[in-house]
Amino acid sequence: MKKIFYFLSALLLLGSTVLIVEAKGGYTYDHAKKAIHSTVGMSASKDGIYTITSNAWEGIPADQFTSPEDLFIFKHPVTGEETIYIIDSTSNYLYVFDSTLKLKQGSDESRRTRRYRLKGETVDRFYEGEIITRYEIRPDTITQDEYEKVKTGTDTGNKLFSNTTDGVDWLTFTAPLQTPVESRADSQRWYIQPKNISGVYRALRPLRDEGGFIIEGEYQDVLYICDKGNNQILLLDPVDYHIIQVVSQPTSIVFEGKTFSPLKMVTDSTGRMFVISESVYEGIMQMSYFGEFMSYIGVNYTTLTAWDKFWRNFSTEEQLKKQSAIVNTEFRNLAIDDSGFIYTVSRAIKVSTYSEDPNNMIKKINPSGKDTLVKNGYHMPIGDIAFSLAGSSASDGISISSRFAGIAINDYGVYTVVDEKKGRLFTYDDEGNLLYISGNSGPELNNINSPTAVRYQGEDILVLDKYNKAVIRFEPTDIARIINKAVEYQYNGQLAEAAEEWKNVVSENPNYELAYIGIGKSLLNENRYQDAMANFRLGFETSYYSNAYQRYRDREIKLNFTSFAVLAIGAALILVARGKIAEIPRKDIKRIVGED
Amino acid sequence: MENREVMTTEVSKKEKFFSIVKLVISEIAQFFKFLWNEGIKFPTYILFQPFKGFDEFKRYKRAKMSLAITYIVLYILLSIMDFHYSGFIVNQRDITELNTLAEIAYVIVPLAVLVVANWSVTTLFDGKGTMKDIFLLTSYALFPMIVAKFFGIFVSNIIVEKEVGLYHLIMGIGTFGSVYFLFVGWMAIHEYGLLKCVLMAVFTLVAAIVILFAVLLLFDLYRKIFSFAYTVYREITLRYF
Repeated sequence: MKKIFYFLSALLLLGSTVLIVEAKGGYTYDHAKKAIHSTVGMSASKDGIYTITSNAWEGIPADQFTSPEDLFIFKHPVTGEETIYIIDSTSNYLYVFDSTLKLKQGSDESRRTRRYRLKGETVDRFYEGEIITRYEIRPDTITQDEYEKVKTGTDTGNKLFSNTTDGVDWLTFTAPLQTPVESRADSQRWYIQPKNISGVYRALRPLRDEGGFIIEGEYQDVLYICDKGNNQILLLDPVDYHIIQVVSQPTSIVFEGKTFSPLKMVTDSTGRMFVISESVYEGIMQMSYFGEFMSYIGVNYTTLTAWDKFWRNFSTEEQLKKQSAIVNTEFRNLAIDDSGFIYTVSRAIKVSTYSEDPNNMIKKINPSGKDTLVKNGYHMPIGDIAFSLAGSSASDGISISSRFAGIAINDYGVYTVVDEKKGRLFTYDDEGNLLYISGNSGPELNNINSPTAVRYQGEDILVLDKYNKAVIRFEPTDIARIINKAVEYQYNGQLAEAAEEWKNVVSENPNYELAYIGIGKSLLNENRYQDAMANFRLGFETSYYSNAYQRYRDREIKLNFTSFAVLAIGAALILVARGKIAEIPRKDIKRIVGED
Repeated sequence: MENREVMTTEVSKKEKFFSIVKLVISEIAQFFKFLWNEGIKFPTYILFQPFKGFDEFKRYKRAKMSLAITYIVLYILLSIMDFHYSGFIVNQRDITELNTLAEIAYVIVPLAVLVVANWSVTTLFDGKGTMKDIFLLTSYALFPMIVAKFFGIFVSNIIVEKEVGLYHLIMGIGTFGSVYFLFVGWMAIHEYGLLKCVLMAVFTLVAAIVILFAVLLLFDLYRKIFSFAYTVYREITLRYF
C-alpha cells in the first residue's frame, strides 16, 4: 500500500512538470529566439489605408482594380516630386498617383479621357486622373526588326491596332512617318495592348545618340513595364506614355529553349536591366541598355547533402519521381539601392524532401553578381525564427520558413521584407540586425494578406495588398522612429549621437538588446572598456565584447607590467632552483644539510 | 608527592589536549593526503598506466565508493559553476535559465543509463565486472572532465575571441580523456580484448538508446493519461462549479 502511494505521488510530481508548448507570435526576437512582445515597429496609420471603397480613391474603377501586382515610387532627382505607379495584372491598367496616393491629374487634357479596349469592343470612359490602359507605339523609334517581335493583346493573331483598324502591317505602320507626331490623326496612331503586366519601374538612364554613344550629362527618363503575358518589357516615355523601346525574347544561345516572362525588374545607373523572369531558375537576367541578354547573376544554388546522394543511389526511378523535384528556387522580387546593390528575395531552397535552407532568402548582389549581404545579427535574416507547429504549417507539410514577396530599401541601408505567409514586415539594418517586426494577417483592412510589393516613402512604408486590393501606409511608432534615427547615425559613423538615441531606446524598452550594443560601441570608442564590456554583455555581442576585453587586458598588463615581470621571474627562479635541487643526489643533500 | 601528582595530571591534561589537536591535525592531513593520493594521483596514474592502474582499481579494490560519489557531485557542481562563472566569450547563457535540478539530471541520467546499459550488455556477453565495478568506473571516468572543466572555467575568463581554440582544446582533451578512461576501463574490468570491447561499446550505446526510448514512451503515455485526467477535471469544474 505504501509503495503504491509513493508511486502515485511520484507520478503526480512528474505530471506537474509536463511542458505545455504554446504558440509563438511576437514583434521581435531577442538573442535567444524569444519573442519580445513590447516592440511594435510600424503601425498602419488610420488615414493611410487606400482601397477602392475608400473616398480617397473615388476615381478608380473598382472592376478594373482587381489584382494589383506592383507598386513603384519614383522620386524625381531634380524636383524631388514623387510619383507612385500601381499596375493591375487583370485589367493591365497603369495607375499614376501623386505622393499622397491621389490619382494624378493628367497634364494633357486629351489623355484624361482614356479609351480602352476589351475583347474587341471599344468603350469610352472618363476618369479624373491618369489611368493608362494602352501604349502608343510610333514608327519613328521602332525598327522593322523590333516591329516583327512586338506582341500585343490577348490573341496572338492581332498585331498593333489603332482606334479604327486592327492588325496593322509594316507598311501601314510606317505610313504616317512623314506626318509630324503632333498632327497625326487618331487613325494614324498605333497602340499596344499589354497582357498580364506584373512589374513597373522608372529610372533615369544615360541618353545615347543615334549611333549608340552616350551623350555626356544627358539623361533619359524611362518607365519600364514588365509585359509578362506578351513576353516583353515595354520602355515608355513617362510624360505621354508612348513606347520608346521594346525588349523581346532574347535570341542568345544561352537562353535557347526558355521563355522570357519578365516578372519584376530594376535598372542600374548605366541603364542595364536586371530582370526576374518566371520559371528561369538560373538567376537574375542581366540585360544590356539595348535589351540584349548578357548573363545571369546571383544564382540560387541547390546542393544535395551526402545523405541525400546516398539514398538517391538506392531509390528506384518510381521513388525519385514521387519525391518532389529538387530545383533551384526562383527569385520573387528585387530592388536596387543608390550604390547599385540589388536586393532580392526568393523562396527558401529545398534541400531535400523534408527540409529547406532558409538562410539565403534575402540577397544583396553586388555589381559583379556576388551575394554580399551582411548577416551579423543574432540570427540569420530569415523572417520568422520561431514557429507554432499547430495550424500554420500543417497544410504545407514541413515547410516552416517565411515566404517573402517584396523588399524595400531606405536611404541608410535599412531594408524591409514583407512575408506573405503571416503578413509581417521584417525590418533589418545594414548589418543584418532585426530591428522590428510589424503587421499581421487577418480580416481587418489594415492587415496584410497577400502582399505583392513594399516600398519606402521616406520613413513610411507602403504595402500593396492584392487580396484587400489596397495600399496600406505603415508609419513608424515612437520607438521605431528613435531606432531608425540611431541606425542612421550609426550608418553615418556618428557613434556618439547614435549612442544617445540608443539610450532613448533603452528607456523606452529595456529589453531591446540591440541598443546596448550601440551604446557599447560608443563607449569602446571613448576607451571606457569596462563600461563597454558591461553593455556588450547586455547586448549579447561576443566579438565586440572580446575586442573591448582584449584592449582592457592589454592596458592592465601594460600598467602593471613591473609586478607581472617580478612575479614571473620569481616563479621561474623558484622552478629552476627546485629543478637544481632535485638534480642533487639524496646523500649529497644529507651532507649539505648536515644530517647523517 | 601530592604536589607532583597534581603536576603530572596537569601535564597530562595539557598533553591530552595537544595530543587531541595533533590527532585532529594528523587526521585532517591524512584526509587531504587520501584525497591527493586516491582522488587525484590515482586516476592520473590510471590514465597514464591504464593496465597497472586498473589492476589496482579492481583486483586490489583501490576504487572507493565515497570518491566515486564525490566525483559525481563535483561534476554537477562544476556544471552549475560553468553556467555561472564561465567567461562571456564562451558562455552567453542567461543565468535566469539555470535550472539546478535539470543540471543534476543532465549528469545523473546519462550516467545511470550508461551504467545500466553496459551492465545489461556485459552480463549477457560474459563480462567479469559487477554493477558496482561499472558504476565506480563510470564515475571515476568523470575525473578528466572535472579537471578540464575546472581549468576551462578559469581559462575562459582570461581569453579573447581569437583564443577560444585554447578553451576548446582543454575541454576536448578532458572529453577525450574521459572516453579513453571509460573504454580502457571496460576492457580491464570485463577482461575483454580490444575488438570485443569496441563491439560492447557499440552494443552499450544501442542499449542506452533502447532504454531512453522505453522511458520516453512511458513518459509520453503517462503524459497522455495525465492530460486526460486534467481534461476530465476541467470539464467537471467548468460544468458544476
